[in-house]
Amino acid sequence: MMNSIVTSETSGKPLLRIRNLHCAFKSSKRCSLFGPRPLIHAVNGVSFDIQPGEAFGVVGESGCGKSTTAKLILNMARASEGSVQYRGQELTGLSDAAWKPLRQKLQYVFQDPLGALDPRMRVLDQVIEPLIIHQQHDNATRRQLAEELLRSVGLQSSQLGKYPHELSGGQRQRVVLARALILKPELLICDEPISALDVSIQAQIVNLLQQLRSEMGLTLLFISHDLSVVRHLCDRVAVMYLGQIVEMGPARQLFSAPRHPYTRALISAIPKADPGARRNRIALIGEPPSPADPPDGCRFHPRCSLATEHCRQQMPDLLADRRGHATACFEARIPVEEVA
Amino acid sequence: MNMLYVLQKLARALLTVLLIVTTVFVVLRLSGDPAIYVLGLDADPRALDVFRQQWGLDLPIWQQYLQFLGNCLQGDFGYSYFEERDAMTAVLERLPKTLLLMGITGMCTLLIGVPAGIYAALHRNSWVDRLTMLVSVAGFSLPNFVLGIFLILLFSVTWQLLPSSGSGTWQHLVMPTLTMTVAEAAVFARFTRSAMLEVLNQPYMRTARAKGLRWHQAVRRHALPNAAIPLITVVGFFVGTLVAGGVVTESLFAWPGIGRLLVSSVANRDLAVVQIIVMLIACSMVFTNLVIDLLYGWLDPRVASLRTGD
Amino acid sequence: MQPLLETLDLHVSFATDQSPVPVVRGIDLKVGRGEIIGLVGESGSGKSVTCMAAMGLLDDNARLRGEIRWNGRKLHCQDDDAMSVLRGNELAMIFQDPMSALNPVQTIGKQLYEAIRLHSAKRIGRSELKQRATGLLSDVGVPAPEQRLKAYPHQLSGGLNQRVVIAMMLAGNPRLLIADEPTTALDVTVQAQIIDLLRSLRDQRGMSIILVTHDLGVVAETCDRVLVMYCGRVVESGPVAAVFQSPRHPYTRGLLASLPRIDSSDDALTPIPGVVPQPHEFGEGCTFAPRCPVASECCYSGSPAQQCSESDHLFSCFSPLPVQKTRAHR
Repeated sequence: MMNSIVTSETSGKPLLRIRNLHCAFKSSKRCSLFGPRPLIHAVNGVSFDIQPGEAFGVVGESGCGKSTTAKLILNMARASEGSVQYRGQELTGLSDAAWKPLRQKLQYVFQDPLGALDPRMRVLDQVIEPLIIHQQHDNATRRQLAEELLRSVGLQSSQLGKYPHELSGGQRQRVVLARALILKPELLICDEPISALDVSIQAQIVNLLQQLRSEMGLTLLFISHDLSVVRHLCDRVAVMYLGQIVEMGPARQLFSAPRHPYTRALISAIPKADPGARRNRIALIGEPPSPADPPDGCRFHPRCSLATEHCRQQMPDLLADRRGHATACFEARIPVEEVA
Repeated sequence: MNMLYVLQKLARALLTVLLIVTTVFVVLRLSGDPAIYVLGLDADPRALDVFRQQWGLDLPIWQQYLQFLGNCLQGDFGYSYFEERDAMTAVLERLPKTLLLMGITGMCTLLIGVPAGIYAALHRNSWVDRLTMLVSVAGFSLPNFVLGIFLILLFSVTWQLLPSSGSGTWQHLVMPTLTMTVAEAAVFARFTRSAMLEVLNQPYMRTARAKGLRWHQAVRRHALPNAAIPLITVVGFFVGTLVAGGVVTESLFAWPGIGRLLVSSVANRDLAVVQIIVMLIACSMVFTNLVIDLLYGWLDPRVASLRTGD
Repeated sequence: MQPLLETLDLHVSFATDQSPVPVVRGIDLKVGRGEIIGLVGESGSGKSVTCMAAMGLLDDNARLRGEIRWNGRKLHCQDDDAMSVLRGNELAMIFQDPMSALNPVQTIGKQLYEAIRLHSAKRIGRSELKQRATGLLSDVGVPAPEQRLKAYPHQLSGGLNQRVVIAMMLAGNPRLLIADEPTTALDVTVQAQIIDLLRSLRDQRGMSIILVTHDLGVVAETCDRVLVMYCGRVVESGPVAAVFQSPRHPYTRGLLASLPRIDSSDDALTPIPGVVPQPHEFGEGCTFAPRCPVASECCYSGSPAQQCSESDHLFSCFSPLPVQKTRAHR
């Protein structure tokens, strides 16, 4: 079962090529003494490409598998099936030693900046450390590079000698970014990098990411539950639900004309900071079912207002139109002019 | 909680006991020849051989082990070479004394340690809290034998108020219990305090207050039951430290319990007695932990559902 | 009409080993009957502390100054006995993380029964308790309420737990519900459900609600009036439409401009530069001055007084932004 897509965009050489990725693990709960532990399918057949220089967003609610996808790419979780290729090189099943040179190219930033930093190490030393590990440059150059980078992510010279707890959340996330970028990675994977920050600080980090992208030619995989930020930052977006991609396409198009009923409900549920705006919210009933016991057929059908008998029995494939806007839905409304 | 879960726990407990018995058996056989201990170093080699033959000590160790297990199953736990009688009888004779000491110590510990910890937590940073914590640090950092000797010097030697050794009257009980209670109660007070502080900061305490419960009501109905959960675990360790402390304390005050018996039997290589005592201690700890596990599942529904896949 | 809850020049500081830390610095808040008030601000703005003060749930090391009035009568916020009569009966509160807001070792039913018993004068029988608890749960939209009574909190989802907490708070039929970031820990589709529930409580029961949040979108969709807080002060307040359409305080405008929007084109975001100052950094003047694009000399030396433009729209700024007829931040 491979509900993958071949779109016009994937014809170029992608930086990251993910095909039919699965991650299933046994639950810690057992049914009976010697009974099987139920299988939790956190990621279930995910495929997408990221082109060099692109910002690719993955959105979805908690438990949809977006963070697990990031961990699978970074080899922090074991894929039970499928392939992850980086510039044509297969990453799944690679040994730790084989991963080390790749770590320079694939860097990541996670949600909690305080937990990501060593509390007993000065900011500057934290940023120098990756250079030492990967044996790049001499001491003086390392120091100079780290100082320059820290300043370019917006830290003042006076802050470089401080410890993480002396900085604010936004400043810490800048340090984490600098540490990820010091090795000049090609792909930066961000998992909820701004969720722990205050509203006014979030915008600072989003702008910084945008600036770094254009300055360094960075490719971005941006995972977030915040659709507005993803729309703002990303070129293409995938929407995940219960371990599967239900809709994927160019950000502008996907957000302005969403096709999958889940995407539409998700977008309509976002409160808008505009008291005059008409609210026509598509109310979703209930909450996503457990990944340990997903429904048959289309995984969204129990909450979908358009669901038919067909949806209950068969899982729809992710099918793309000419513009690379893909939807996994039997009932998705595709504007007439685009069907062509 | 289902039957299966209980059975599973029981099976594990039995396995643990078997493992301990085996280890004790092997270690004791390897650590010295009882014949030499009983008959003396300069005994006639033939007498030694006869002794070994009599007690099956000349057989290969695995045969001795199987024989030992078989005997145990039949209720025969061996013969005390030193006391020259059934080892079980020798141990059982001493058991009530030890249980008395442990029982009183246990009760005093819970009655002093837990309320002190709760009070300290509820009055955090007050002078009572600070004093309690100061006393408790002193309490558990003072080794049993130091405190015991100190008490003997004070109450028996200087003031001549209490007997320094033996058993029989309530006066004999005072110093051994006191010695053991101080350290145990100190640990309990500290642990209760931190468990309570943890619980008091939980969001559900705010919810309980927001719905209209008074402070003391919220503490009684929501904080105490939750704080009890980690405390139950400590009771498991408690039994262990009680036994260890008991051995020292009984020796110090010449209290005729199994702790003292254990020390002298080890010195005399009285294998059967040592084995029984160690088995007894192991069984009591395994049993306590079994009870705690089951209690845990009963007190905390999250644990029960995690384990049984509810 | 007399406001239901009113704070007059409320100050809260917390005693520490060093000097006391001021967290709330002169807040005037009025909540009318059947009104939904939004309290917006970033971390450290004092919005939660203001609410906890009104509930009388501040820690012992809190020092209060100023007055809180309930129905025109002075509240003795630090008298636990007096406040516990009001809590749950007159004013109730729900919190951010619903998964830990319920006692993990008691069933949902037991916790609901406790709340119901607490607020009824006479003893209630088992069957009536069950009936009322089921009623409360179905009021807040919990499906299959009777079965949930036997469930433990960890067996329910976050959204359901938040509904259960709300049901519990409704047991005493309070007139004011304070919701402190009630949806922050929830997914966006579930957040929409909870927000709808809060609105319907207001519509059906005439309940007043204080909604504490950092999410301007939630405020815009839910509230009648909004107070924008910064470092323990209200910098701007007024009807939601007026404040969002024409923010007069640079901080409010900054917040709005730093929000990425789902429904409009991809302009660059305009973040507020700098960081929120810590309480020990609060100076003489306007606390926002160091981050303010229009700050001048006077902003650093003195606190701006509150000004009023049309209809209840208040702001504290020496150089307020001009009134906008169209959207200001885009």
